[in-house]
Amino acid sequence: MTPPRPSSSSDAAAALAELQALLRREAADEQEELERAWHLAGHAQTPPLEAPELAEAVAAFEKALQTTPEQRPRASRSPVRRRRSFKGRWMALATLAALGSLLAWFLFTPVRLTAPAGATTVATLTDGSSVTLNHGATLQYRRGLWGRTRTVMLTGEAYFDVKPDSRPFIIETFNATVEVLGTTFSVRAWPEGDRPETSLMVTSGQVRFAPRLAQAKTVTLTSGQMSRVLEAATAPSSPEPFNADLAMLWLDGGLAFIERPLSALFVELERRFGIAIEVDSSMSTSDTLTWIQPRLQSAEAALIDVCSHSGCRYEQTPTGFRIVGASE
Amino acid sequence: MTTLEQTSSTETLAALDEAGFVALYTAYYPELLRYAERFLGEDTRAHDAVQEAFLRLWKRKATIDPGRSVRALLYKAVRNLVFNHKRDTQRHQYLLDTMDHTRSNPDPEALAGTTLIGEKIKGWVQELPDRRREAFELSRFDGLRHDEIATIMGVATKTVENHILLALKFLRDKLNAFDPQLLQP
Repeated sequence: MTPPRPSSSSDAAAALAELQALLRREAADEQEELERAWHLAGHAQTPPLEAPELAEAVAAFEKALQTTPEQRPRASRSPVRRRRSFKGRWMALATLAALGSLLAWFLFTPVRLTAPAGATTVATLTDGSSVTLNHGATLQYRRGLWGRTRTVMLTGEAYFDVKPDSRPFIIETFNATVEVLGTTFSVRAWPEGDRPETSLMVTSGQVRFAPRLAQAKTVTLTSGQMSRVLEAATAPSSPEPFNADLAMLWLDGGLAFIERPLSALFVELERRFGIAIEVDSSMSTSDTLTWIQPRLQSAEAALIDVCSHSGCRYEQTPTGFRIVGASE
Repeated sequence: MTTLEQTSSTETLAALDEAGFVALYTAYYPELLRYAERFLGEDTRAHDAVQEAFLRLWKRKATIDPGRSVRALLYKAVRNLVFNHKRDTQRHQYLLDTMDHTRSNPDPEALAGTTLIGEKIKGWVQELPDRRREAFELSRFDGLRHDEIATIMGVATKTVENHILLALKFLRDKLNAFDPQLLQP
């Protein structure tokens, strides 16, 4: 058949006729003005495509047409199927590419969960296990590496509720490895501070605990037991009982501070409230302290209490507080 | 004229072979590209959308309800592709390259052939609300019938006619303010 060509002059005539029908509703003088405006608007018409560009586009289309099979009509096609067939190839390809990169990103980018200062964060992992991160603690893991084990990296303190699974759940800290199969326990692993250690407190089930650089020196803890790893190559301390109410007090927003130096308490308050606490040289912070709070309301309330006990004053600073010896 | 009449409705579409589709493409590609470029600017994605619209029509040619305007179908397919594309790129901007659809400045060579009043009117047309402008451009520049525009934009014919009339009145007022002589007989 001969190529169909839309004739622009006949189109224009038809469009004008349609417009004139539309304008018949308007006042006579307005009809004339509007029709002139219509004609003048023709000057804003974008010039047509250059012939070489069209030839190029047509050649590209001929090529594409050869690789695109036409669909045979099917009698029993549901409207839903018909809509689906309307989805284009290039959109499908783009979607596929986007999904691919999303999957790669999903599998291999480390997931990093951090509890902000001032709040604990509860996270549910893909295996259904849940982790409660204490203020400022960070958990990192790569979903793509969860083949035979479920491995996470922990900095700081967190309470784990691990769902039983054929794959062991492994927590790496800066100096220790904790391996479990399904249990609840708390791990505390702050690499800095007065006591850089990983301590493990088990509230149910069984957990294997080892120094990172000497995996053979394993200690198995059962419900109600705790142990510490002080050095990455030294065996964990032998299991001993612990007070679960005090050890898990942070989960409810409280703080159990037992026989530790004042400086460590200030670090704890810094993490908990996201503030900076400066300690004046006039103040000695090496004295140990035991201080238990079922609920920590504010840093200031904590300082009022601690200073009345330890003999100090505090001043507000733009970022937090400054602790000054009471004698000054 | 009879051949155009024949393929302007979907009755004869299923009978078109590859050569027939290439002819159809040759006839409608320029205006469809111009239409896509109104949304995307001068961009290869405008060409991609037009080609894809034809390929879709090719695949479905046997299943299309008879009695519909081929031209309106093509415009509508291009429009859907362009809008989906714009929507998807807005949503997935972080995954794809930057896809800024700001219109490129008019090419000076292209401007040379147009008149000053043409440029003025172009500017005024850009000031119209998006849908009013689209209806007006499809009518005035693409020469589509009001019912075809209604199909393309997915609105009632009455709405299209209102848009065209209001756009025309807006332009009339602009022209009058610019130079009252222009509208005198």
